[in-house]
Amino acid sequence: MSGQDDDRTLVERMARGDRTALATVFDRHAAPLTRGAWALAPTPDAARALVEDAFVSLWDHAADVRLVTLSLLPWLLAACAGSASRAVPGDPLRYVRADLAATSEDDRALCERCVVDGRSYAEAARELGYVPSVPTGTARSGRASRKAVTRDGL
Amino acid sequence: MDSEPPQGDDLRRLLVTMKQDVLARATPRRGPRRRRSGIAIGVVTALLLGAAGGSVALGLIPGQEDRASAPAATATTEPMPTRSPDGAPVVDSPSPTPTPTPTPTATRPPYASDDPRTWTISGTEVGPVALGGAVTEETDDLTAAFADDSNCPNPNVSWWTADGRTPIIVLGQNGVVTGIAVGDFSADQPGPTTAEGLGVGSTLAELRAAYPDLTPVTGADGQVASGTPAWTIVRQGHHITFSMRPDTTVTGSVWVSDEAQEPYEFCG
Repeated sequence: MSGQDDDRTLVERMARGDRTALATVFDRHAAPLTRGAWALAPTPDAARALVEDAFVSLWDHAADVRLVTLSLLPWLLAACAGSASRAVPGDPLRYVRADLAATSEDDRALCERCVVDGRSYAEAARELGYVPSVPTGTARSGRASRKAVTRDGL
Repeated sequence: MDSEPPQGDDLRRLLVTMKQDVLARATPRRGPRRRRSGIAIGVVTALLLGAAGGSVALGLIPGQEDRASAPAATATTEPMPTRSPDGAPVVDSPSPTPTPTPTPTATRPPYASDDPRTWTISGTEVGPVALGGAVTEETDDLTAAFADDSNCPNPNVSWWTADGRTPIIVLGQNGVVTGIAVGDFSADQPGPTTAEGLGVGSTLAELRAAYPDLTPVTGADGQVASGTPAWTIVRQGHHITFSMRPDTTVTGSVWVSDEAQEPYEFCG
């Protein structure tokens, strides 16, 4: 167990009930996710609720999460966007674009589909041509694992 | 919304409180129950944690805006909204009846598995160790910061120590964590604290100021123990009990459990 584990490994650890993994994921993604949620919610309290609910949803469904890319941020942003009660004016990614600039092209494409176009994470993954992968028992980092997707093929 | 996202200290404070909420809402997963085989090694460590009825520790919990995570209709890989429509907070109704907890104001460092000073004591957990979780899985998370002291002959108790750190004692029954103690009444050392920053070394006056619902723990005779009096609060349906060092008003141990009374001995 390490704070340096990649997001896929952390998801697998959460699926096994490891709450330190959830804490690590929170530390890693909460700040950009909060910025992202700020554009999706009408009030600060609503933004906070979106962020918290996204992490709790991740914890609750960790066993079923299959990442398309190495980062959980698109999944978390998709969760926030899916829970947002209504459309808000302006670019919904405006506060998080600086964070996304440091992510992969695939991550950015996923975020655009999920947050801007209103797709679910699975829909975005399918539209972008990612193929579901069989979940592994152990975490693997690197390019070979990059295309991990959804167990249900959604 | 019109306002810009928080930055700097404002963001940091927000993240701290959100993290506490998220971890409080992340219910432990119940693994298969296993009784620890527990080979007693070494000498029996008869540790007296309190006198005249036992020690009690009070604990507290983040206790703010506890929201229930609504169950998802189906388990899919999709990000799923979990908030109930009205986002209504769920308030546990333990005994004694808790009163609203003051909003934590202290800024805590980010959680680190190898630094117990960053761990939060809540009604459901101490850092990575959660009530109701499998002992082996929960205590496994302590190894980044502590070593298991195998001298305790009680197979249901594991005693975790490290130089310069407040020890952690985990009590289990049928392989499930039923109690977590922070501190063993020895000298103050850095360790986990509540969201309000209180723990081993905190004075009774500090506890009273932070927790209006602080309640004395009484023995069978209805009296507070004279040697190591203890006070408790209830958070998320569980007790957090602060036990004083003998004949002092300084916390020597913090106990998280369904039982308000911390065991008089763990290994005896």
